[in-house]
Amino acid sequence: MPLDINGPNGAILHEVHADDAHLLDVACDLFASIFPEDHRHLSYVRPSALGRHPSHPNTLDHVWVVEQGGEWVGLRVFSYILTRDFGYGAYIGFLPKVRGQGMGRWLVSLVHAQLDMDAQLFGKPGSIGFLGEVERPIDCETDEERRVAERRLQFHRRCGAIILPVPFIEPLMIEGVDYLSPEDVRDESPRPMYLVFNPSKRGSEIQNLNLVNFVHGIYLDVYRLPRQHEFVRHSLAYLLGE
Amino acid sequence: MTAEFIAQLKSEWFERFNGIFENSKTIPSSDLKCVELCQERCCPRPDLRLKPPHKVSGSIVVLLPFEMEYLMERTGVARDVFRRWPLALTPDVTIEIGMFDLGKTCPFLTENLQCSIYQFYPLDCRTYPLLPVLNYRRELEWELGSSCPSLALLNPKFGEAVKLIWQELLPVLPQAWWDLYAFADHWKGWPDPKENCNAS
Repeated sequence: MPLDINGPNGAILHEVHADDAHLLDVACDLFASIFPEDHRHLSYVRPSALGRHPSHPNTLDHVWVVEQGGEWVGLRVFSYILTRDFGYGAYIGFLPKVRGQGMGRWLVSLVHAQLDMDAQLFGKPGSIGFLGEVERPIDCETDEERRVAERRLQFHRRCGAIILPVPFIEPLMIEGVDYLSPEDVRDESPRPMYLVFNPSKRGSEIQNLNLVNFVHGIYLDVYRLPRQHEFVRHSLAYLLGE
Repeated sequence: MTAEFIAQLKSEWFERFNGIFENSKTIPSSDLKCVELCQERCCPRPDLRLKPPHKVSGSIVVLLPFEMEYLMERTGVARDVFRRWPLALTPDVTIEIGMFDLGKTCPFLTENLQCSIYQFYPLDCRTYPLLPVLNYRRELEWELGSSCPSLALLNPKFGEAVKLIWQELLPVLPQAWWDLYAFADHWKGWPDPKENCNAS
């Protein structure tokens, strides 16, 4: 079933394909505007618009932009993890002027629908939801940063996300990609984040989430870390009593 | 500094627990018929693992901050009987929150399904079948555990007293604890997560 691309107050969803130079530029401009602190990761957007990219062997990627009243106002970058029955939401953001219109929930529902279709495309009955990383307000250095982080976290809660109790360190980059090098991120440090899971209808019926599967899905399949990487072991240490 | 901070917090929480248990003597009876009627769903214990997950709702116990340490001190149980989750209070201070689930079942349940630490039993157990929920405005809301077989007998005055305890805890309970409490709705702890570790 095709997605209903019409959202709140005349918003329209557009899928960005790699061969559409104009929409790709729109997506990159939105990324730079909404996530200025992540400017080094702007290069993630273009390969993601290919859907399947050799640097992302375990994911089917999507880049969406949202238009409202002739303006570009929102961006979503996410992936279906081919080896799992859930996805990974890398980025979601809107310009401040359109916040509070229900755009976030609308987009989340569309992501669930898209992931369901992706899962079925790869022989699964459906998607159970998607993972995301969210900043921890306690790590913020200023009140303003903390306020923004709390707003983002609350946004995810309102959209139905469950904050998973596994300690999570965000890797600086996906291992082995051809569009970003360790040199590009040499000034950054891995950050502790909340790992959150936004369940689909199918996922919300699961009464016993498989946290090992989530940790492996994001670290091994998305970030392509080795199974014995310290981040993986750190995340599972409490769960496995190690 | 970190150790001092944690010691201070622990001391404050122990005082709260002492107060809760002291005041509990004046809380009206819940009028629930747990021993007579609840043979199925309350208290996480090994035989519940044989049931399908949807039949064992209400079998997770989430302890308050430092309630695990309080129980350890009062009863002498070891730390490893608890499922433990990290809860970061600051970038440098992380405490552990105890939980009982179907992988780490309740060590205080006797063979005839009696609680062996009734005097100190966790507030989460004490509160059931009332279930606190923190809404988006950071206000307490209440749900009822629908699987409780003596729900219809619940004494409203007991409910009022228990709600008051939680209302007084609200300002000192970190949001991250509420996130853990919400997560517990989606967690049974069994099969043992170790069994899943090499599967994927």
